[in-house]
Amino acid sequence: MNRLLQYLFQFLWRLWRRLLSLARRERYEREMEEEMGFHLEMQIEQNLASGMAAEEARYAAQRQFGNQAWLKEVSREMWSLNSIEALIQYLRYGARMLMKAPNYTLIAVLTLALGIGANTAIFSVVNALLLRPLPYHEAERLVMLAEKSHEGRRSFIAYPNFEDWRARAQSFIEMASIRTQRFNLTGVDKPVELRGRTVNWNFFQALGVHPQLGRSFTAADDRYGAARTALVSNGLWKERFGGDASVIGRKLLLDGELYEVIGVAPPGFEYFRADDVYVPIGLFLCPECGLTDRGSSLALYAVARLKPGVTLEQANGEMANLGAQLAQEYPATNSGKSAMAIRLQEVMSEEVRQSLWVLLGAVGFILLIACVNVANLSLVRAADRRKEIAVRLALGAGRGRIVRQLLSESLLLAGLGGVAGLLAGRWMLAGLLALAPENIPNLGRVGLNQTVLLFTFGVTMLTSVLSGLAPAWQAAHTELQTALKEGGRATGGAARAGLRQTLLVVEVGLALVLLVGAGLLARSMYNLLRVDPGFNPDNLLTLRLNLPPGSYTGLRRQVFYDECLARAAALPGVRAAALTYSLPIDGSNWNTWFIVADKPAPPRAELPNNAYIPASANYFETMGIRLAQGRLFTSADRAESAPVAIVNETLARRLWPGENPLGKRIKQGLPESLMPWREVVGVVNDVKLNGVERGTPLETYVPITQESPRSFSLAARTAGDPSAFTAAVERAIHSLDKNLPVSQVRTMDQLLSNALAQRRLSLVLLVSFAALALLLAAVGIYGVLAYSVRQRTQELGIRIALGASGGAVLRLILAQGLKLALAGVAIGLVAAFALTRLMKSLLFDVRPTDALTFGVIAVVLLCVALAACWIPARRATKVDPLIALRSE
Amino acid sequence: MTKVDILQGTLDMLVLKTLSNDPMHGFAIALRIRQITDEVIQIGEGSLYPALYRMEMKGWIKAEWGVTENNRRAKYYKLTRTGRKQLEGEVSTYNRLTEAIAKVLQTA
Repeated sequence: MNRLLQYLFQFLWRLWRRLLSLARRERYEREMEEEMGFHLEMQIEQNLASGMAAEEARYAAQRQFGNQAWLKEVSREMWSLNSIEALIQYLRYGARMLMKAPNYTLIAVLTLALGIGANTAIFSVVNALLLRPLPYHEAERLVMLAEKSHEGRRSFIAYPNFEDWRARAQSFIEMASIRTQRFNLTGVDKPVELRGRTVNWNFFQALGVHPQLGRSFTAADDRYGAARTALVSNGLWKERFGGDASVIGRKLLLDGELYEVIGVAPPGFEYFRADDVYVPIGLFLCPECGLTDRGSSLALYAVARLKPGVTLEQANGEMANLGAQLAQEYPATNSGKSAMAIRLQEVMSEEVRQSLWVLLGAVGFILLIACVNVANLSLVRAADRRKEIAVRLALGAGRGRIVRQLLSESLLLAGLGGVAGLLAGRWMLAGLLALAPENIPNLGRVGLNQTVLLFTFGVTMLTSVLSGLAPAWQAAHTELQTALKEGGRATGGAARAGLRQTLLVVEVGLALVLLVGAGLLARSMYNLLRVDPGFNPDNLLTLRLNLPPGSYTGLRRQVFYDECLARAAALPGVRAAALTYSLPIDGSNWNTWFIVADKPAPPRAELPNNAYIPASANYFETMGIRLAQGRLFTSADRAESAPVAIVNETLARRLWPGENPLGKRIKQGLPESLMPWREVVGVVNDVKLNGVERGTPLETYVPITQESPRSFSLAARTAGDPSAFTAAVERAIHSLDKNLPVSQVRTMDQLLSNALAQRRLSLVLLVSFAALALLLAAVGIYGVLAYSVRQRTQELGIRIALGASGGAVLRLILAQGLKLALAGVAIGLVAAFALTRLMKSLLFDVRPTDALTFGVIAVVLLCVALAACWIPARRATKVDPLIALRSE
Repeated sequence: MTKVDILQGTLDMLVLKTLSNDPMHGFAIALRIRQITDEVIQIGEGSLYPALYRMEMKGWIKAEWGVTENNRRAKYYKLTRTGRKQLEGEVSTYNRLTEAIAKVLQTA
């Protein structure tokens, strides 16, 4: 081992020096001249000292010195020209050797390419989403601010609380709140819904982002009653204003109000996602609005920049103090609530982080398996060449030279593998990005950049060392005599066979771990797909409508609802249509606190929360939601009739365990709110509002005649593919109001699919990697066993000659292979047992140490191993004893 | 005395041995060897400098520009640790070889 490392270092050292000398050629030439000149002078001196005359001394010295030019040439050869030639010689030799064994080369390069490619692809994603700093100025100093519920969970901010924080906090130099808002853009050919954000004036400043055109907001823009201004995204600017600088000063009609465009965001700007328009939040701070209510729970968060020298812990501590202060000052709204500061990058990557690390681990395993396979391949090949190497050694080739050539071969192989891997990685990355869900922050930044290329290069070097080490080591230890005697077949060296077998066992173990991981994820997905969503998701078309603020007031809104439903239902092929505030699976709910009449109101911090869902009377029927108790809404439930509500089973069980919920009374909002008390008239089964992965929330439905939201969804049950009805339904809506944009048109199947998109991607990737690992392991087993059979030809010949049956020989070889596979499986099971707990958060309804999964995977792997052993075993039975004994 | 041709490996060994105590420049090395062997082994520049450059490339000796006693600039060569190890190895191999040859010559 020592010798091997020595050779390796010498080889690299010499390579390095030659490359260096190439660079410093000029200086070397000069120095050489000087050195020769000095030598000549000394010679002349000596000649003079021994009595020669001056002229004679010079002539004698020069004559003795010989042909200076020739000398220079020889010396030069030692450095510069030789360096390139040496390099080329190594590579040429390596290439020749590789071409002589095309099968080996192809398989090795392919194996390496897959391993390196997978690593490159996954690392690109990890780099862009987890490692690279966010595209803001000094992004590591940015934090997200949020409130903390009494259970310690992150929750929305009430704007008045934010204002107090802003006034009192000392840890930040900038603080800005952000809220999502959708705006109807009208006054254009096709009205459309824009995704927007309402932000404080210093939002862009806090991030350190400057508009590409125009200006950012000022404090004057951020007041209630100020002139309405807006900043548009770069994409919107190019799309609707043709990228023309004249956009500044133009007016946009958003939700029926005119906003002046004052600036354009830089290209590619994203904050968690790309938005179309940014508007000052101050414009919405009307005295009676939800925003200015300290008790409200609107989806508001804030971003802040730490002051220089302040740590995250200090900031977080200060926020907690502020939260406690406000809880004391405003017990009615704030009691039990606190505040927190989290690193922005952490929040942006929290959804994908776990999966990414698991995937990175998986491709790491794949790389190791690939290296093991290539190492084994190289070992087999080197063993085949033992005779050749031994002869060359006997003829006087330096051992170092042999090793050097082997190393250069593996370097070349790894280089080819690296280049092929880069291409494979690019292709894999494109596929990955195509399948990825859109809502992952910063996904657009994923690409093969410098860091990734450097990583790939490093990985390639690593693989070359790992996979080239073994054969080079073997070559360094080639015993001259035994090699020549045995004529090329290496039998001696239990150590050598042991190395190959150990590598194989490790390989199988790694493959098992990957397979178990994939199996667990697959089971989780299976469990998820079997979850009952609580409604019938087939052939359902959904879309969202936003009525402009202040429009369709009072009765006109009811008329609009009715007309909307009527026209939609009248379309041929539409079986039913209904309206609701919250669609299932979507997760965008109107969450409010609530209290019930027959129990005392709990303290503010412990108030229960429910999804408040205004829905049309036929909603339940249309969606296929089952009635468990009582009745559904009817046309009798109108604005002027008694306020009613329908709750879901979970709410009924939680609030009135063991009691009859019908007739109970429930009120939305804080205890002192002026919302009406509603009588519970029915109980329906649970609906998975927040997706199939999360639990069921408490749900309270109210008739849309009694609570009439401006923003709502239409759900239409169609005969046949719902997406075919999109145009017709849109036309129906526009026939009512041509200025009303129809947005978020999706089928329920799409919604369900999107909800699971990220999980599905991880599953697909992990299963692919596991399958790859299985394939590589199978190839590895086959290779090792095939080689072993070749080695034992003589022995097998003897056995058969002595009367062993084909079956016995078969069993012999199979046993050898299975022993290795079993060892690998055993190690793999232990490793998997230890490692799968790391992916706990990715699993659904299945334990990380689920025995069934482990067992099935082990059996599958053993079966595959058996299959891989079959061909070599069969070949063993076909050994002709006569030929086997004769050959040497 | 007649000049004797020596193999490249042996030349390397002699040069390394000469440098085993003090650093020297090329001319001094050749001179010293001539002196010690009573002019039997005369290393020409055509063999010496290629050998020196080769050994420098291998990392056995290190070169540094210095000043002679006569205040002239000359390139001094010094033995490295690797070189010292190499020297030990070559000396032991050479001794074994000569012993072996001597044995053969002794037997009738």
